[in-house]
Amino acid sequence: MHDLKLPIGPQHPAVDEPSSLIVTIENNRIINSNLKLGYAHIGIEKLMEGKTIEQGLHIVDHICGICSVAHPSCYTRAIEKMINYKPTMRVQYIRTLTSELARMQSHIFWAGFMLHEIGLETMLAYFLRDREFVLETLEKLTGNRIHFAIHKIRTVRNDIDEDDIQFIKKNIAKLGKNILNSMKIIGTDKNIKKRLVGIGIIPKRMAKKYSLIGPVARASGISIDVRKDDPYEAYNELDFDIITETDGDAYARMLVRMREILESIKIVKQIIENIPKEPIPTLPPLFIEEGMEAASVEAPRGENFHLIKIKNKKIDRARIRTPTFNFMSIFNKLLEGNYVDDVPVILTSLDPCYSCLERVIVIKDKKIEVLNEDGFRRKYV
Amino acid sequence: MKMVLGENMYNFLFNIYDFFIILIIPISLLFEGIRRKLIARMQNRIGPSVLQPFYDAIKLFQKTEPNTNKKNIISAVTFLYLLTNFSLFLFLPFSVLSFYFDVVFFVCIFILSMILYIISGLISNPFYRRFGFNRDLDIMLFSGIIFTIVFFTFITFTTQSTFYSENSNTLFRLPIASFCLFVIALLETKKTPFVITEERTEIITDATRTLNGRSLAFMEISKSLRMTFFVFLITSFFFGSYNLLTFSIASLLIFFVFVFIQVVTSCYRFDQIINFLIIVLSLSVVELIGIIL
Repeated sequence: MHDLKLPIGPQHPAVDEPSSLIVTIENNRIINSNLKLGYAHIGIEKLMEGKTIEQGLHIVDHICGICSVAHPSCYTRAIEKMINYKPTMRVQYIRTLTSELARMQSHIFWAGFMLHEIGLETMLAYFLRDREFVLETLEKLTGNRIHFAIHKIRTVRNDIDEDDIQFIKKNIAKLGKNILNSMKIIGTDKNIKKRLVGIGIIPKRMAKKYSLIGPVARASGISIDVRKDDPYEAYNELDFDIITETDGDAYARMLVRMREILESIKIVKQIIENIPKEPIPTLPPLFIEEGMEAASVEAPRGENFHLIKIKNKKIDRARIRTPTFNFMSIFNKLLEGNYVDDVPVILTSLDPCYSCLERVIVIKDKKIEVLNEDGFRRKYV
Repeated sequence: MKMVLGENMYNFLFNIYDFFIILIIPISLLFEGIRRKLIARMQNRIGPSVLQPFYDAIKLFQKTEPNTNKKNIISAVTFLYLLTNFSLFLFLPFSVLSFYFDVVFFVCIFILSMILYIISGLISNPFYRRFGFNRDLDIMLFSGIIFTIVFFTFITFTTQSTFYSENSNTLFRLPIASFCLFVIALLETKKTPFVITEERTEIITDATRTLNGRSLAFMEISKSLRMTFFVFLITSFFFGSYNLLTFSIASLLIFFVFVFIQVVTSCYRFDQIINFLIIVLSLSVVELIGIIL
């Protein structure tokens, strides 16, 4: 078969979120690919403009369902840097706890879908069962299962008590046992290795060239992690390792994420052992006259970056760069030469999130028209 | 009575086992329902009702098909595919016409059913389905050849020209051919690890994916029949066919093995399947030559 152009998307079961991928195939192998984004555009950055700081926090809470701790965490870090405020240790520990629980549920969810892409539905079902332990814990801590909304500027919304700690201990113990079993299966199953080993290889040099971050970079042997490189919340108080692999293929990315779940469990155990006993401060809403600050945190997918500019107590400009932005630059390159059957495997191995990635980038058209929120809604939503 | 009706007609009307075949479509759909339920329970899910395939078939028969100029021919070909799959059961134990035909005829019917599957895909196939169609064609060539070789290996070994045998326990006596037959069964029923298309993600779908309405109902029933046929075929080879009860229990055992393989394995990529089939083909040829010599 010669030069067949196969469109995948914009709405397609192979891609979890809308995107248009057109691959040119020859003899079952991809010779060229073209990815188009822009179908999940929700205009977050534009929506934030003109909002107060507290309203902005509410918006970043809802950027993504999976990274729903990473975004508010990054936003609060930027605002607190702006006013040079250091939250109390208990607040920092609670934030770290939710960050790690969110990382666990993201990685577990990803691992299930990765195995689903190669046809192992059973493992997806088991991973969803394991994820439920984490979601139950987060629900007990925050009252929510998807958008946790635990963060507030300078403090947190909920405190945790002894019951919560016992609940976390119980669920984490069960989860740890199940994850070890799953890792044993992933490590020994020949079929899984056949589908993942050597697929979508990113050598260390290429990972550096494309500025890759997060588990994808760590699977290529780059030891990069905001939690270690620029510690925030309570990470500098905790003992954990940066997980790296050297092969840089889909299997290495799977191993990195699975081992990171165990690291997160280790961090959670340390937090519940060492969390300081002090009251959670109750503070009024914060207003800042003027200022600009950038911050980054380690989201489950990699470094999450927020730049916030405040003017007249309102957000004047917000710039959000998510890890997917870095991954998608290499996606077309990775597909070339691979079998068409491996498209979902490679795509999922990068763990992209378009709802995080796609925001208002162009706010002026050729007529130099500046859109306010209502105008934007009329035109694009 | 026997003299009036003739021996064959008498056997046809009064042997209770003969009516087994009349129930073969409901049995096949029930097998499909049990398969889905078993997989769901193994995956910690509730799963659909065991009767869901019946509801699906009824719903599909009620749906109207697009009024194209190919409508009737697609229906006719898919019905013929159903008919050939149904007629495969005639050769198995406990059926109306079992053991009166030669196995060569059986192999011909089997290959004819494969060809009809391909034709049904060819007729209904839009441009982007040709990928799956090509894959189906490749697999048909492999599975047809391997199945024929394996079949003649069994026949040569047992020196019987029919399936009916009360001591046809060949599982351990012909391990390679048994393995090959299992592989072909999984391949023909399009179950993991031998899912040749990327149907989960719909990047590459099989040849018949664009069927709908009555044609799709014929196709879905045929797929259930094919799975049940392979379960019965393997049972009759491996466990013999002493009586209906033993046969049914053994069939359920084989069926459970099928389901278990589907649950615990992931899919091979297409090139990996082809490489694997080349090995299977070589093994089957070696065993046949060994038996002949």
